[in-house]
Amino acid sequence: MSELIRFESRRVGTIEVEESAVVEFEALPGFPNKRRFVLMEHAVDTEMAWLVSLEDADLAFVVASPWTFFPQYDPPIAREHLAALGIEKRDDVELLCMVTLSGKQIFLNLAAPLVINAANRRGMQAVSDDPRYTTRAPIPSLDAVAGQSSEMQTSGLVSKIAASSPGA
Amino acid sequence: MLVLTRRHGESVRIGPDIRVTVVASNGGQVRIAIDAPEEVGIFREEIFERVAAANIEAASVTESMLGGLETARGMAGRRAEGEIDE
Repeated sequence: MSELIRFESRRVGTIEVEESAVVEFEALPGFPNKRRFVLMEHAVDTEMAWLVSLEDADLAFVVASPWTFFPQYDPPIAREHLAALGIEKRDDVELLCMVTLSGKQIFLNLAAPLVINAANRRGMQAVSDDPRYTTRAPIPSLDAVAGQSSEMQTSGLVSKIAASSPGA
Repeated sequence: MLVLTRRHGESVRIGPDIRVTVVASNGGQVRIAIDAPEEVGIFREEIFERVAAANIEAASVTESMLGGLETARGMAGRRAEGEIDE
């Protein structure tokens, strides 16, 4: 059992996680000095999670597994990204996309997914100029998503990384 | 900021591992070659700025915004004390 961290986030409230749950990111574009984040799981049936900064109480991102909404997604990850994170096994790669909203429409940033090495808990945002993907990909209708999500295997993605509640 | 003048074929080293070489210049355009370790990300500034802008926008998404959306069911309810109870 590693050290317990307590952090007051103004975005998601008080969080208490073990040090071993922290993901150390290479600086995200736009947020040069923020490196320590924790992924907070939500209810079992939700498709999204919070990526919460442990250094800035006002910083948190909503993230989602891209495959929940875009089953054909082929992430634009280069070997340099895998090398930078020390990724050795495909199974260790975890991938999440940032969520933005405009009115009721939800968008995923498919152009620059977050890549995490679950083995050493290091992460980075894979910046690429892949022309297939945009930083604002509108997700399909909510009905379609709701019908589909229960079949997705990608929820394991969040559970591998996330700081699950001790009772869970 | 360091500003250097280099001619065609000349290079600049950034640390021991990164070399930037001017391979051609023509009018307002300069063509550069970059040698760097595999794990160093290299991309055009515009790409980086686009991702930065997207990230800043993403950081403004609040739970109340998500709360109105069906797909985010569960997020609103699990917040606060329920999230981390002992």
